[in-house]
Amino acid sequence: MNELPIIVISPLVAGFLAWLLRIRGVREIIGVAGSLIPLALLIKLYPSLGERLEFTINVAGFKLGLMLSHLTWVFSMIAAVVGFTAILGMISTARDNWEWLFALMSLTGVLGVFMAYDLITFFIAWEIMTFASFMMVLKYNRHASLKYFILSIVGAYAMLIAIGLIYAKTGTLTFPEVSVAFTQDAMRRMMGGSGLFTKTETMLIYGLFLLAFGVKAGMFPLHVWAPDAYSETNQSYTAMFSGVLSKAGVYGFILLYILMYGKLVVEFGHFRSAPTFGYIIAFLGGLTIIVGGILAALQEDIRKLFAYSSISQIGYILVGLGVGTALSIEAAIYHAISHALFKGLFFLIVATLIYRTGKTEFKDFGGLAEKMPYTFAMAFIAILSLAGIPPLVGFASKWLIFEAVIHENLPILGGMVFFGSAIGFVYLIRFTYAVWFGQRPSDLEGTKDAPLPLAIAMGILGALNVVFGVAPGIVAQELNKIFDKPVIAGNIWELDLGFGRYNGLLLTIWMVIGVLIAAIVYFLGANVRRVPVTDTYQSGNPITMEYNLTIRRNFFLPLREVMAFWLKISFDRLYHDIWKSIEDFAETARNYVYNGNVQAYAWYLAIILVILAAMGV
Amino acid sequence: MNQVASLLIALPLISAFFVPVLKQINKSLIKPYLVLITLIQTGIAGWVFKEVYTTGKPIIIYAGGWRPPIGINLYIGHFAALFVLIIAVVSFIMAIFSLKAVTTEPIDKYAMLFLLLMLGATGMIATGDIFNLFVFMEITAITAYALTAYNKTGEAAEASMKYIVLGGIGSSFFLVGVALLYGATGTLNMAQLAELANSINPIVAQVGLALIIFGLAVEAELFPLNAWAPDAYQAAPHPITAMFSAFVVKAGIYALARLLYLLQKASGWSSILRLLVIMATLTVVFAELSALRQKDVKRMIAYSSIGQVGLIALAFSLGTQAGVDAGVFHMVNHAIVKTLLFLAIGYVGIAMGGTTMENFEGLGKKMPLTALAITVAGAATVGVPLFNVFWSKLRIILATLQAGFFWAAVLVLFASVVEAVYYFRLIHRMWFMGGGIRIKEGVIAGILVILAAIIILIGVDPAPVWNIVVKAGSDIFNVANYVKNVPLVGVGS
Amino acid sequence: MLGVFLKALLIILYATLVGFMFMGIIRKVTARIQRRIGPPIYQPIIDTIKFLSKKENITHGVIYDFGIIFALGATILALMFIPLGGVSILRAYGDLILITFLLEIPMLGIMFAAMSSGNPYAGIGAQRALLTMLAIQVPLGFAIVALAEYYGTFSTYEIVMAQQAHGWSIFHLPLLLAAIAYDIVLQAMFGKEPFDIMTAPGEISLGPMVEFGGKHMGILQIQHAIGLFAETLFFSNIFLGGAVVTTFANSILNTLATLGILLIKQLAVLLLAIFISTIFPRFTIDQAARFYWKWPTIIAALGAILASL
Repeated sequence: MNELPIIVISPLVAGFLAWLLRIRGVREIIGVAGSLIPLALLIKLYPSLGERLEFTINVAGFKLGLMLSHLTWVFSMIAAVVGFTAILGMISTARDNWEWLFALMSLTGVLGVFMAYDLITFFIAWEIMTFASFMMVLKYNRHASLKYFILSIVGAYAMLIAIGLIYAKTGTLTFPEVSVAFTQDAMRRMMGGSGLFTKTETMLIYGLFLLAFGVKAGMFPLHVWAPDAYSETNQSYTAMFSGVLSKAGVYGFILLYILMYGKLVVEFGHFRSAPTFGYIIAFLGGLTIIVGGILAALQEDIRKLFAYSSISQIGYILVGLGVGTALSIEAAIYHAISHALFKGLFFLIVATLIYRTGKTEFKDFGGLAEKMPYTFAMAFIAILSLAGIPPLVGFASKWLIFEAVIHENLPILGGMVFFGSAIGFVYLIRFTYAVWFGQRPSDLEGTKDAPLPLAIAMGILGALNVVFGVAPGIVAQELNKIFDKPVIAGNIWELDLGFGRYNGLLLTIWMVIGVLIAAIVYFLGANVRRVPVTDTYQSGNPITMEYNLTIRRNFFLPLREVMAFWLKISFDRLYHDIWKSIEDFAETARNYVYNGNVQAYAWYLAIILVILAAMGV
Repeated sequence: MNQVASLLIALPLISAFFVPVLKQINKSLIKPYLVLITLIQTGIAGWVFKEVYTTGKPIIIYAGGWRPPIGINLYIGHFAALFVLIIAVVSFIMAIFSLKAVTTEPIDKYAMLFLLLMLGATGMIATGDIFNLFVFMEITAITAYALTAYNKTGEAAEASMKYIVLGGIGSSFFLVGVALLYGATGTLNMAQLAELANSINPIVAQVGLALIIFGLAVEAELFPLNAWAPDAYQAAPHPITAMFSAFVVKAGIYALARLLYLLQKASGWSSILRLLVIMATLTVVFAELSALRQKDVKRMIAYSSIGQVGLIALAFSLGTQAGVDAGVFHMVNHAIVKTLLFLAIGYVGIAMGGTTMENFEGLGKKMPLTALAITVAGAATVGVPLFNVFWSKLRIILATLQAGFFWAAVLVLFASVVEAVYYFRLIHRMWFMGGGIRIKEGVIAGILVILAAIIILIGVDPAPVWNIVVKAGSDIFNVANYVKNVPLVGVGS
Repeated sequence: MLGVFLKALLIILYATLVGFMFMGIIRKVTARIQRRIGPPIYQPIIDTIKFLSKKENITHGVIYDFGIIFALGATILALMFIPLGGVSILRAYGDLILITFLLEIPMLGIMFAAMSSGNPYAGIGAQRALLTMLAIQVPLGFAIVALAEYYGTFSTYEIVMAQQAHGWSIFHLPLLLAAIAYDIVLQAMFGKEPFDIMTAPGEISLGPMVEFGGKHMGILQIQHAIGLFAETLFFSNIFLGGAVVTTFANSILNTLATLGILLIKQLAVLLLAIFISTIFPRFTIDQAARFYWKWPTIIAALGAILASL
């Protein structure tokens, strides 16, 4: 179908046009149009998903292709929806033309990744996505962007080597053919013969892909780029950066399953009830949840808190993916969707906060719930969603992951996942307390509520959070189509797994009833009288507004003390040190080899002659 | 009509020796004259290119009318046609640049050396005789030595001296290798050498091949024989550096590849290939690492250029058709990118008075078009898709893995990561550090933008260039075809 | 429909009443251990009525009010899901994880309300409450995991049924370990020593509760009562066998018998908690966190691993 390349290319073209035409109003319109076209086309193509939608083109000897199936449609929709809202947000927060170009370029890249039909298209789109997002960070902070770029490039090149190895051995690059080659290989091994790929090679390819996708997804211990990169860029863009681009890593892992599942299972076997290669992914995912969560609780900068939170949530998805059953993979994809929704919403809120107040650290915020009620309402929805409180979508997906993981008898993973949800509470309360409640610093008195584009964008994501939470079956039924069987049964209101049930509508109704009963009791009492924040119980101390009454800094100091030992281990420092030693080695090598001394150079010639002689004779 | 192709050699030669006459007439005519001659050369090269690619047959010129192997012949096949065109175009651009960039006296000698450099490289690529190759190689080398020292600074003199010493040793060994082969086969014609390759005494063949490769490796800037290159690149005048990087070294690599594949029937071929792979990989690694902490941007790009050349050499030393195709593609892309880079850096050097890192701060505000061009070229070199180098790098990596050289691929990719770091540091410095007022950028900026546009164009649609490159690649790899095309007169063994 | 609502109302009233009884029992038993007479058992009811009938109340904003309402609403919601003999309404949906989550939500609501008051004591209290909750998650999680793996189902109702057939959970070793861990966790959930750091009366003036008065405090008391009831009920159901009595022909007698047995089991849990709380002083928050992440976690993890074998 010819719509497929339009879906992928239109953001890039729009971005390029927006960059060229520097007129303020026009470029916004072009930019938004560029992100709206993929969304519209994807919705239009939905009914025809039953037939295979493909588009191939021959470029310089490579057969590049795009494909739309249920799985890729779901991911592309995530990209399109969150991308669209992020671009809407950028109308308010973007500072110059470059940002439009690169934000839209990264949207193109990620759509290309999701819809790729062969390894080369995948790689090209991956690199475009990485390059564009890197350029978004470069302007703000060179160190953060270089860290991101190097880690991403190392991952991308690892993927390139893996692709090259696959190409060298199988001679083909398209997904269906590669998948068939691996399955045949697995069967040959099962019969006892030797396959195309030896065990070491399979392990190598697996490791390389793990590196590549792990970096992009922000998996521990490759997550070190994420906090800096997510914070040091336009925060509306981070909604897309964290909400969508990290899903490219997740999609890569799913691709690993699609392409190499049989082979990896045959080579490495099972660990308890999960395939070994999957258990590794899941375990690292669990560690990601814990590390990301605890570090999020200890942050002082609002952007960094959400960056670590993003890392932590991706851990959930990885756990679900690693466990490897149809249910757990569906749960993981569900969580990918809900994470994109609530994390996108969170970053738009952060963008609004920074845009309106100009502050980024918790110690400068306070008491904004009154000044920005709409934003606060959105934040409330997002908080409930991330914390996993029914009836919002975050709960549905987290519940699915819990059920899927524990059902497979994997207690350690189950414990990690549980811990993760509590830590979510913890850092969210930190966010809420420091920003929305309590005493308001005097320089925030004139803060206005969200500007219109951001408000619309937040509204879209907030509404989706609620809708998919109350009617979780809508998403579940879509996901079932990927597997072609009712993995999650039930209607649109209910998720029925056989060993556990959750009904969104019922819960909502009863929650409303419960709150109504409580409200009745409340209103039975006398009326209330509003008092200012200085009129609180202070053990007899008279206080004024000059005192700081809110704990905004170092809120979780006890946690930091308890974790003091573990916090000393830092992979960030490790990578930094490795890079520094490479640079120093480079300097030394250069001084030795290219030392400017022509006699030394002449000796080099002599050495080569000697080697040549030794080889010949 | 095919004889027009011989003008490719004759024109620069004659015009070079016409320059002193011109000097007597009017000194200020010399630089425009240079532009004119290179323009004519470009026209002829374009015509030759069209001829060869539409008819599919190589143009063969017999010097003096004598049929080979008695006489010397020029063999302008697909590869040669492509590269002669590239040489001509780059020379033309550099001639325009020289209008502003080169002001040191004596300008007439500069023009002569310029034309002779162009001639030497063209001749190296177009010739079909191994001794003729040597002659042209020497012409190239000697003019290069002189041009390196042209700026008359102490640094330039030292760089030139290093170049002379190392280049001289290399050339001598090359000559010894040629002599050995001549003694063994009795012929200097490349096609006939290919035919007779497996009938030579294996030891002689091996040693001869080894010495030839060794001699060419100095010119082709392979590790560790390329130590002269950073100094030479930095000290030479800006247009000359661009020419070095764009085609002089390519001519050396071409000769290396051509002779390597011609003599593939010689025994010990595969071990020489392996040695070349190792040398090429080390070239890439050490060059990129050395570029990391450079303070002078011109030197940094020089190291980068050496690294990329190592990559081309790696592609050629794989011994497969895919490798050769990838290598040729990278040669084309690299020529465009490095021309742009050295042109831009030279331009900044003239406008800002130097090429150290500090001069590049705030370039985005002072000379935005130039900065944009450098950004495009930098991103291209790193290998980002939508730019041309991505396709050639991809092909090279795939070919390397296909040929089984896993560690070479890993090391090369590691070097790419390092490359990304220093290019992006430069880009950051240009756009986000420092500031300044806008300077007027002239014609040069226009050329830069055109080159950048070509880079992006090839990046987005590589198919036309790829088709040309495949034909050029098979020209080198498919030796049987080569031999068939040259009408050898049967002469004794 | 009407029947369902009536049932719900009855459950709420029963829970509130029994919950207040529990609060009274706590005070009475603590007093007796400390050789005092103590207030009458129905004292909490009187206190709450007094709170609710205050003539004036203050508020610090919408969230302040809404948080309290939300907390009570969530507790009621949680109550609906826990099997209460034959009477519970939503027991088919009483998923282990859902109930655990729902039991934690009230704390969130209270913290929102407390924090919006701007009182620094409330802030510290909220921080400590959060960290306590974080600390208990690990053993709690492992305990729930152990349960789910042992019985192969997440439905609380089915676990109760299974225990009718195979005996109480605590008779099986993995679940005994899980129960021990969960009981230690309960100590913190009730907010009793040695884990009452979040309220820490005498140190931070009741922590989150410091600003509440009048009807807000009244609602909080009701919430605490229902919360006590729900938590003890949940524990009894999953570890002590619950109660499903079918010996009588009359369903009302069955229900009364079920409720009676459950009451006895809940009292057992409560008394255990009271006994522990009267002996121990208070842990500081980092001591509490370290403690929870050591022994209870190990015990619960062991239980989970054993259960999954």
